[in-house]
Amino acid sequence: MPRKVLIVDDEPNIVTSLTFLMKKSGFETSVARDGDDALTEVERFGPDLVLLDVMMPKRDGFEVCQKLRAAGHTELKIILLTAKGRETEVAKGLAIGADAYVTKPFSTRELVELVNRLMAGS
Amino acid sequence: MNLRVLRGRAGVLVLATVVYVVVAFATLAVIVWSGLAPAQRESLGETLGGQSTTFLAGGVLALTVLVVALAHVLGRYPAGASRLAADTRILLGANPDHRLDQSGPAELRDLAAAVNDLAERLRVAEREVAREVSAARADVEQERNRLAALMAELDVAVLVCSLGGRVLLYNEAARSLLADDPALGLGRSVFGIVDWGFVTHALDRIRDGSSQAQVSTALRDGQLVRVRLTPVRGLVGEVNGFVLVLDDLTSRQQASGRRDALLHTSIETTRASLASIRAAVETVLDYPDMDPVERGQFVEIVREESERLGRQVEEWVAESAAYLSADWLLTDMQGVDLLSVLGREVEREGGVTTSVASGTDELWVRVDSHAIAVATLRLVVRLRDHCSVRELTLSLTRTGRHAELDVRWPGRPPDADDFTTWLDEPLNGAAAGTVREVMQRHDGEIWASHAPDESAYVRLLLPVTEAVPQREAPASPVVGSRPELYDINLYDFDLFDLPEESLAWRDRRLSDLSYTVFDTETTGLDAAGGDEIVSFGAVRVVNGRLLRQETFDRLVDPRRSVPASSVAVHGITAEVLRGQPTMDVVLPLFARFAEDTVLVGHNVGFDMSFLRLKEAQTGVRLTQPVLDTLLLDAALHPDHEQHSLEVIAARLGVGVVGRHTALGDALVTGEVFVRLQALLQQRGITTLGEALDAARATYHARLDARLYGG
Repeated sequence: MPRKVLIVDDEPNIVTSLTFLMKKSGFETSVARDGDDALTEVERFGPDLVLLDVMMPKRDGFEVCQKLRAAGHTELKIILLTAKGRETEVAKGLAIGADAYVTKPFSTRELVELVNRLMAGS
Repeated sequence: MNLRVLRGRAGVLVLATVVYVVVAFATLAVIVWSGLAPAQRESLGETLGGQSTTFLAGGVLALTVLVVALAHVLGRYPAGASRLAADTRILLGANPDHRLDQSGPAELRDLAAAVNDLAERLRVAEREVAREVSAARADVEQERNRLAALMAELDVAVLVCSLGGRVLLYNEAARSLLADDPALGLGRSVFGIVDWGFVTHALDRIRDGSSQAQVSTALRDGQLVRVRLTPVRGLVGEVNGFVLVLDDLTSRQQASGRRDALLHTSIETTRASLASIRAAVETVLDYPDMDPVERGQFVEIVREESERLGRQVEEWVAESAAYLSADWLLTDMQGVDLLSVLGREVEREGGVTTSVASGTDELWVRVDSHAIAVATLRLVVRLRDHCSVRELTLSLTRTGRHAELDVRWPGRPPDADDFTTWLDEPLNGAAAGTVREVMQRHDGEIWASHAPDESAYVRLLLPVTEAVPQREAPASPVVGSRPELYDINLYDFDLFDLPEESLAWRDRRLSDLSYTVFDTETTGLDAAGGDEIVSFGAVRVVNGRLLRQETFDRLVDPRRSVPASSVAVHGITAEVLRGQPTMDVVLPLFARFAEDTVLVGHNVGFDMSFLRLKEAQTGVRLTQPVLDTLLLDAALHPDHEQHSLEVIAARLGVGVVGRHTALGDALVTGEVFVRLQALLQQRGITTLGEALDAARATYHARLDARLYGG
């Protein structure tokens, strides 16, 4: 059974590439457009890993991450993606339970490697 | 003939005299009668019996003459004497040029002449003293003028305050920065202008050795200012007042806010577009066997995002030129100072036992300490109420280019939703509206979490100062070398010692209170019948002085016609009033002008009746005590029958200018009130409660007189 990746981002252009990349890497994918959508989709789709954008309408990625951890999703891997990338935000992201923090723009190869590594670790 | 003297003690005296005369005659008659032989009695009875009517009429006439004569004498002496006493008090207390009227009986005329001579001597002696005093004060005056000139020259607004927060001096720049803020005025509380929390916070920092403290804060009208507080020290170095310097930041804040917003969106949009382009290109490169439709899709992404980037850059270039540095909001502060100030405020205001972890002297942070204190306090209060946090530890540690300010307690972290709500709640007293905005302004971050040792924490990441600034040595006061500014209160400005506003109004001393003396002009005399106020004039009295520059003068559109009869009184026509603000606007302004002061007016019940009727419409209720100069004068001078403003003013030596304009009448009433205050003092009426009681007693006496004649 293929491992599942949930892509959460409100930018359709990055979603297109991420979906393609994850599919080519052999994962089943689903997409959520905002924070609330992401919380429902985690429950419905049951992903092993979430690619989570920080800047989104409604709930931001930090909040979604904290909610998921608080709701008991301790095994779920979470990669925060952000265009902000300030030091303070990296510190915050890791402190509230993200497994990795990737600053946009990123290398697709490195991202795929990161995803594979985290999946193997779980 | 004035028979009113027969009321009271004089009446008793007259009655006693009449009774005595009648009883004496009767006794004499009985003694004579009992000494007569029966035959003599019979003969005398016959003689007198025929003349009984004549005897009776003669007796009554004699008694009437006696009563009238007594009344005349008593009317001339005691009433004349008490009028002399009242007039003497006027010349002693209020108007040294007042002279006693030399009329009435010769003895009283002599007495009046003697008192007048004495007054003349007194005036000569007083002139002598005044000359000496003014010579002695010339130096002080010069110091004051130098200070006034210095302050007037400054572009920044300066307010000099007592420790209790009363404004003692302010300059023109302060007046123009706080234009139209009726809360500004000598003797008024500065906390109507600047947040109380900041001043306490700043004084705390000064106790810790800072030479000054600053904060950015919003004024009541939303204007953003930077406030710097410098302590004023007394002879032995104790802080007994402070100087506030206010800088207008609104324009700078707006520019900086726009610049920050632009910068952040630019960075984010750029990175997001770059991410999409890079991902699309790399995907195409990594999967060369991709079908043409898919490839076309990725190429389209690249084109679209490149265009978006181009637009973003143009926008950035166009707008970025205008913005300045945002550093002005933040100041360098030693970490241990920040911790000790926060610790104290959290414990005092938050009611939570607080311990402060010891830090190192090397760590400096770049912060708006007041904003951080307000934000921290808010979080602590929420933690206390929602997570039952009763004790906590504050610590500050450096990590890379940031410092972690941790609020730590044994227990669980707050619910994430609650925490987000707390971050977005409005704060009081800080320039930034919410905790989140405070953190944004510091370019910091904030989150709540828990540590492995089962304790929870809220962490504020704050910027550190890279180059440690040279700390100024705290100003140590040395007698004889203090700056000129501080010398003033030693001679003249004994205002630093004004008491706190902690006592109830009634127990406050008249001399310690500030007053708003006011008058109104109206469309007529019938408030309940629809007459309206057309003009407000007011002036402040502080420390027994009329402050002619601190006035309130507004016309009010009455939204009705102005009858010719009232135009004849005040000269304000409907044309002049058209387009003026209405009561809804003017009354709240007046209420702010009069805030924290006792209201004073002449026959003020009339004006108050108009204001009371406006309470519902404007939502303004003037709750402070009210003094009436008419009643006070009547209480002080019961023997004078006239208490109109003109008569009182003439009696007390107040020049009457500009009557029947609201401000003109307010000024005259103000001068009268200042002199009445001195007379009240002489009579031992020193508190507001005593003055109100005296006025109330007079009011009832006058009411009785009107109801029962006299």
